[in-house]
Amino acid sequence: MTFRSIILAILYRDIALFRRWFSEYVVLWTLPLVFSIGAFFLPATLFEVEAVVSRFSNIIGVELDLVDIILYAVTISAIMSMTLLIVDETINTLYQERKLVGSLQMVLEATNLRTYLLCQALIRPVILVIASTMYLPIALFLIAKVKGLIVFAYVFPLLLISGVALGLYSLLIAIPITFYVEIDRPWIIASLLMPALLAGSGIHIPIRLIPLGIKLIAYTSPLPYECEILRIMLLRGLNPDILLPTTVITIALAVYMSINVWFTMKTDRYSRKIGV
Amino acid sequence: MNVNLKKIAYLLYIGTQLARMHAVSYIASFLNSILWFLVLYIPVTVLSPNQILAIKTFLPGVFGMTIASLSMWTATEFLRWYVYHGLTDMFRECGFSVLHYLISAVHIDVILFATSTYFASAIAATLVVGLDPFIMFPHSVAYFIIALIVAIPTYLLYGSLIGYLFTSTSIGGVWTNIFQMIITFGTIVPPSIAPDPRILLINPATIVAEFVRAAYGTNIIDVNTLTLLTPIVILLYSLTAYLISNKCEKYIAKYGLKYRV
Repeated sequence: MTFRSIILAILYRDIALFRRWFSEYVVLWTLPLVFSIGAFFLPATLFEVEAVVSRFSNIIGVELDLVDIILYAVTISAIMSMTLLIVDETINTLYQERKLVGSLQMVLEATNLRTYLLCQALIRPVILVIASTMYLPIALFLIAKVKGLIVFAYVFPLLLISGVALGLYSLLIAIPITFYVEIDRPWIIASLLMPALLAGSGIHIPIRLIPLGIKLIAYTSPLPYECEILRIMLLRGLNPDILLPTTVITIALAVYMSINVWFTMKTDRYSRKIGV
Repeated sequence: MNVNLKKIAYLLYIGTQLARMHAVSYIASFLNSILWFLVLYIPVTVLSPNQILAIKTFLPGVFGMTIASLSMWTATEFLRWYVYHGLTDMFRECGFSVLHYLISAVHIDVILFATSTYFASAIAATLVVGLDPFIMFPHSVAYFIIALIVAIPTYLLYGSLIGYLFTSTSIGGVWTNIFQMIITFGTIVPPSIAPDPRILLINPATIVAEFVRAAYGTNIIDVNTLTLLTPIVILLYSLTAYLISNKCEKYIAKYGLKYRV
């Protein structure tokens, strides 16, 4: 089985799943959007909107207006929906393929586990980022017309890169859970990891305002740096501050990839020895 | 409506044993709730000019929301996962419906889980923004206890409603997500956003949230109105839950129940 065939198989499966679970996708687009806007505007139900806008402007250090904050809240919701989908799908799908559906046996007959897993980690996040952020260009256009589409044009490549990094990161957790540890409820790991990453990443406010205890787990993932880049790009425009988080994401991507290459090779040998 | 106390005691015993079997899931849900709470409430508190007022107003809403969400997840658990394990059939063969299953879980979900999650979230929220956790101890314990009492029929009502919708429509579990979004109004989003805050009492979970707010003196709807409504809503929600769950049972008896993921 060639690399191209594996990609086509993954693409076919995810399009079929997208059609089958379309209503769940609608929820995946809506909930983070409501959640993200709520995080900024819930205080406005109790205090003056101007007071909340001014407080956020002071925290960021840039004078912002209401539209800027709505645009920011909507854009940042894409990180949330992307994270939920990629972490959940990467961890739970692999477990189900091995422990519940048993389809990894067929995979081993057609190709090796290493190629399959790396394809999953590299290609699938791209599909999942597209699927989880389909609402974003429409929402941004409705809020800021052409400016919204311009924002989407420079945010989307960043989401794709971060999505791949997150896919590789999730695979590092999915492999031990699926192959090396006996665990009855793997979805617990995914369901705890998702809010732990989001709570510690400074998704709505700068990470310096998040207590250290909460951000420790998030720092192992690419999410805090991705949030930082988005915040700088959306609220302060392109400036040299973007260099540090960009470098960290690039290094993280290389580290996750290197570990995964070794880990998937080891798992392939392990699976052929003891069976899947 | 025939209320049989012995039957209720049996159901509570069954619920306790089921909860013991699923202790790991409860612990995971407990941690999960606190973490999700922090995702939303760290920015909300940081962006609020008066952090103490913000915590005392928004946090009680989470309690109302948790009650409604828990009941919906419990009802769908009964009609979804337990169908696969055969537990739904076992319950139904004994003449028990979704309402009975909700009753079996009510003491664990409302009294133990929702309350402990609420106070743990309150401690986490106050510590994160550097406030004294003791400010979240209710000033009026009586109102908090009334909130717990009203939470029970609210729990039964939302669970029965989602049970019926899950069974009789094709979109199944998505109803829970739709309801979760609607229920935020009056609970997490305080009733002050409505021109007349009392309009949001249309959401049964609002009264629970408002009573918890009353325990801190941050209620938006007048406490006399809430107290006056309490016996009415307890009866009304319980009766409606009973009727809806009967309807759900009749639907299952007629068309069967298929296993849905």
